[in-house]
Amino acid sequence: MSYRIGVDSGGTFTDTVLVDERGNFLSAKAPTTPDDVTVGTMASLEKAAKLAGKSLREVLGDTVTIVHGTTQATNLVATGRGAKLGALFTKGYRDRLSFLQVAKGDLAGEVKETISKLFDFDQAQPEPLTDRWLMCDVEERVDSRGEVMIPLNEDDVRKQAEYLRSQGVESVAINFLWSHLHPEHEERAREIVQGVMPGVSVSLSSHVLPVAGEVGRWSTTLFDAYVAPHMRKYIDRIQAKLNDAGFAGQLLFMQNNGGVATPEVVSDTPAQLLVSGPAAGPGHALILGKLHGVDNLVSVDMGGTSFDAGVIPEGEVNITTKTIIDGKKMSLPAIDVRSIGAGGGSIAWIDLGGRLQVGPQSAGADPGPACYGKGGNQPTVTDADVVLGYIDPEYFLGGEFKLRKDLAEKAIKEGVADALGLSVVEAAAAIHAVINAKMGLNVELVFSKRGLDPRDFTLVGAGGAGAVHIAGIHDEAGTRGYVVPKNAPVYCAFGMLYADMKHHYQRNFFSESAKVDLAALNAAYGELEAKARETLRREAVADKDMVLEKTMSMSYYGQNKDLEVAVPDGPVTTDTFAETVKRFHDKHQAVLGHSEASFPTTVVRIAVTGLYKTVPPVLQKIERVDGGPAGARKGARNAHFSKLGGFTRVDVYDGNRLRAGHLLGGPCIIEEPMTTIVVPPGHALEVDAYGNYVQAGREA
Amino acid sequence: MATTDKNVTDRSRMYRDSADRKIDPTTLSVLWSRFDNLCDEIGERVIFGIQSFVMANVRDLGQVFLDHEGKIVSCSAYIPCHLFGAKVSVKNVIDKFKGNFEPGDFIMGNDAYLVASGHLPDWTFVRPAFYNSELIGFFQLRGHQSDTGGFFPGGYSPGAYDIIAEGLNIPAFKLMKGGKYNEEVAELLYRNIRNPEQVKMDNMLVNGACAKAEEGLARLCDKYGVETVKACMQEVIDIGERAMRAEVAKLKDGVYYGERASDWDGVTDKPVYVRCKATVAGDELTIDLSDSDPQCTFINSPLGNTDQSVMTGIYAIVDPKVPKNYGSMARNVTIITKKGTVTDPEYPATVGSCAISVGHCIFEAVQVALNQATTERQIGGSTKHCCPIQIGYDSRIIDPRTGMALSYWAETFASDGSGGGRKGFDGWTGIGTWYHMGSLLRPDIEHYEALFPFVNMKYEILPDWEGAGEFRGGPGVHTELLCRVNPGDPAFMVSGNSDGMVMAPWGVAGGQEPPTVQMYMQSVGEERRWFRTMCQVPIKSGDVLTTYVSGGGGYGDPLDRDVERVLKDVRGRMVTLERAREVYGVVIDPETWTVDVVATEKLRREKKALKPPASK
Repeated sequence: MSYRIGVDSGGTFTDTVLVDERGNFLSAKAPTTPDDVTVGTMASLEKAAKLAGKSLREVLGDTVTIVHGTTQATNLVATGRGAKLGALFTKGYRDRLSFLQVAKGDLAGEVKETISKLFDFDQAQPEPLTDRWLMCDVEERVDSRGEVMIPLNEDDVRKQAEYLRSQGVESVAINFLWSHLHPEHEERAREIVQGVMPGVSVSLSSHVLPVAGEVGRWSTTLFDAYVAPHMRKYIDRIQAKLNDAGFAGQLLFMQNNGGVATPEVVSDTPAQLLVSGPAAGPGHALILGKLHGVDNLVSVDMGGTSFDAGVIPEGEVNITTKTIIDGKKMSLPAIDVRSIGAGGGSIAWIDLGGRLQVGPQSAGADPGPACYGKGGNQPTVTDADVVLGYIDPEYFLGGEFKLRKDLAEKAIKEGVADALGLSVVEAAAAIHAVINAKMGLNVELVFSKRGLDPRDFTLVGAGGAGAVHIAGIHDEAGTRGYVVPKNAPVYCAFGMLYADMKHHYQRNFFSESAKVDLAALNAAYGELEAKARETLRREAVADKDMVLEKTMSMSYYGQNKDLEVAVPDGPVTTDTFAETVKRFHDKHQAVLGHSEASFPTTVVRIAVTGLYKTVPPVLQKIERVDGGPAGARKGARNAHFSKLGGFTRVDVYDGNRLRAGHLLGGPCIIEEPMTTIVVPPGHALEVDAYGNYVQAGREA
Repeated sequence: MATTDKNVTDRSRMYRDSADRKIDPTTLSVLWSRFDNLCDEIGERVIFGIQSFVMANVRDLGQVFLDHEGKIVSCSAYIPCHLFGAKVSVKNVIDKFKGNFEPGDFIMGNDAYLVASGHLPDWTFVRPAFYNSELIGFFQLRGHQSDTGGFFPGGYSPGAYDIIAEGLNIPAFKLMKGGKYNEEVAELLYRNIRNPEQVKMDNMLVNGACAKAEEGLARLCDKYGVETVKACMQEVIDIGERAMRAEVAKLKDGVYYGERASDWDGVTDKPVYVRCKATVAGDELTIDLSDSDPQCTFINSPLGNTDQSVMTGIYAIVDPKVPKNYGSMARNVTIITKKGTVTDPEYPATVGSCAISVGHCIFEAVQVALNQATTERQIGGSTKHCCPIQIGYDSRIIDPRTGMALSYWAETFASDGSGGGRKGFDGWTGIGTWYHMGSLLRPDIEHYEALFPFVNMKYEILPDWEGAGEFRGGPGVHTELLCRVNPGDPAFMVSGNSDGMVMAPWGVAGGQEPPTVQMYMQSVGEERRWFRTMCQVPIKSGDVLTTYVSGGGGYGDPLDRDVERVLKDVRGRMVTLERAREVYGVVIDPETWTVDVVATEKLRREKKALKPPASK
């Protein structure tokens, strides 16, 4: 027997997926243990082993790969429990990151604030990651050509390092201007700092993110320095615990960019783990899409507090460098997933304009929705879903946990229904509709921003809370169809098993296209390719298995932002360069609604992605049967559908007893052990060969 | 005397009204968000593709969605001066064309008196949005172009003889008529603009982005029905009115005065005053600016700019959640101006710095007046914009768009000061003027230095330049800019976009004022020269411009400031030890970084005893 394991340690639960070489899989959930995450991670693995009828040692002994995703770096930042951080900046720039890094309306990242937020003064400015007195400067200056204006003052560096040591600093970020063109000053400063502070963790901006733009580069470097000591420790501990438990295979970590890396490589730049939580989703959607011959996909994941959506046009997962964390830039390439505060725990409220709003505030896991009976009294999405009969209070998480419908009703009455002059059920239906609309809008935005049409795309995913809503999200976003995977509640853990090893390398390369020096361009690509190869070799990838992909960021001359386009394989020639420029014009037209083929263009930056493509697990097919799903019917209950004018008695099916080919016409409800799928009137789902649910009645 | 229903936002009534229009609350919520979003998307696309340095890097633009009569329905979260002025300017555009629009029209203009949106470099673009050949509404984008003709690039050079010299005056015209490009007018226009290819492409990009928004609106009509979309547009406006009436009703009835000054107009050496008389009567608010100074040069505020400055001031005082649309702007708010004053100038008065100077003073005067009508929402003053511009040629770089030496118009946006304090919150560091509501973005200095022959040597917080208070203003800002132009190439330093040397941001509720702005130039081997606002001087390689820009005004008595906050400010180099003791009455030991509690209590008692009792 040989296993592969995906283990996803999230904010609330740690999910494990165990797949054997025949493609059988099972999944387990255990609570995440924030004080020592390794405990919850091991417990989740233990639970999975038990489900397989074996000891953890037996399972781990037979496991070839464990892919591990963790939100720990995210949580270190969210809870302010990172390293005691010091920083050195170019003279005159120690305050640079104390200023707003993005406009006030963009503080929430890609989710734009409304204009009301601009006029709201009752909020504190986001603070830098460390105290201002631990941000120091040293004499040195390089100019925009990479030439030294003022040499590094080594005495200054020594003096500041001694000061930081006296303050008990554990990690130092070194951030100099133009260091991406002239890294020598930062590198020399590191030597001096390490001499003064033996064993201290040092992050250099010229290594973490060697591109122009000091705010993004430096802020990312501070994040790296902030999480580095803890994450390196965690990486070592979990590796040791797994080894002690009998694991002799390869441990891999899920990175921001949707790829995986070995513990050694990810330890170089632990900032690669900062937003890796939802990164496995899109890759998983892609695999499911392939099963059904669909390559325009959008991956969605609705949990307790957040809803993530990532678009995959023509099978290409988008990468962004514009992540904002707590008002600060994190500019490493990351899977482009748009997250909003919308989940089962989202609270419904009425705003000043009399609009019913749902979220972004969430009741979280504690106290949780009113129906949890843990003291929450604000109405949430889950409360509405219970009132509407979508979720069976007796069968939440497979019955592990009973819900209180009376408390849900009370919260909705007091929080929403009375204020709007609606009945409790009407108010619940409104909450359900508003959250669906909100998620639908979020999905629609991932398209419209990129000039894509939702009607060409299929929704894939769900997450713990999503299966109740996916039909509604689909209706709102106007997508082509939707697929709910059999393993929806452990969506990301499963996705990790499909992730490739993946590393990005980029550098500035500024040239007008008309004057481009192809020899210099190819040499620059050669440098990046060598770096990518070197890293993959460290990860024991054979040269023949490496895939290197080139991209180029281009703009029209004078433009201040750039668009990234793929460069054809092989050395860049006059022809392939012309093809790349054409791709830029086309993309500009599609995304921005305008292009001019005769306008001068420039190359701004180049990048190489080094990949080792994983061999995906092949899943076991389930039995295909003729005839209807009647045998899987486990009962019936009343559920509310506005379209049908109120409550209707609908059939409830047991997902584990459904077989391939079964067609489930709405209205009906399918109960899986860890989630509930609602099929509204007018919708129908068909079970595919692997037990996934595919919207029927049209091609997916 | 207006009758006031203090419960106009009573929710059941609101929904009865919605019911009259047969709109359910869900559809209303959804469509309202989509209207906001259509505006945001135009902005996102334009920011991405635009060549104008300030639009791309500083977000100097704003988008608005209006109904078929030009009533504002929804505004995006961008710079207010590009948003609220649409009430006046789009109305002017509609009137000019007497409602004659067809699908594929794209209108632009900048005329300070005919379009009346503001100064010349901010061009207004309007695209009517049709659905099945029915006019549903308009999208407006206004933004700062790279050039607008005139005697110097950029539109911020003081001293123009008249509005003709200041820049090209463009009455609203159809750059695209029914989807067809207006070749002849365009040729005339762009022939009079520096770097025409750039500006032309930027303009067409705006058209492309607005056309995408029009498609988005059509999809909403497809999905929800055009009558529902139209009904929601009107409902949103009505909700704006009800919310604004409720908020004005919460202000104390009375007549309040506010007076603020701009440094000067660059010609006549005296401050220029804006005077506001605000009358609150029930749920009606009247802002009367008639008593402001007579029109001068360069800083006069055209009507659209005056209107938006007033609204920005009011919106900053009332609950931030009041919807920003025609309903909250025009139905219970009356704005009175007098022809021939700085707030309502007559042709051909120049308007180069209308927003940053007089516009800003209007915004401030409204706030100073209304601060007296509320105790809940008072806020300390913020700095005015203060960050000189560099213009010139760089003969070492040939611009492929023109085939000529690169012409630049540059600004670091590094030196802007901070926001004012407010009950519970310190002012924001370096947010710049609240007039822009934090929507101006500070570009990367590396991006600036890559493009322009200047090096920014200092980018720091300036200790002791905050307005002290229980909740202090944000700190002052200190920058130094080194000139490295190619000897022989023309280069100028322009401070026509800067203000704040005469009148400091105010403090409220016992909070203090910060110092006023200072700037000086240092040439190699020469005496230091003080550099004023509203100036333009030639500069040469090696010159250094130093700026000290004010922090924000404080809120509340500094002797009541939490001692831990004072300690943090001192350790963080925002406040010196001496000032902590003298102004905040806090005694700190710099060796241990601890507060001497006994000495502090004693000192604070003594200082409070010396203060005159607060006047009521």
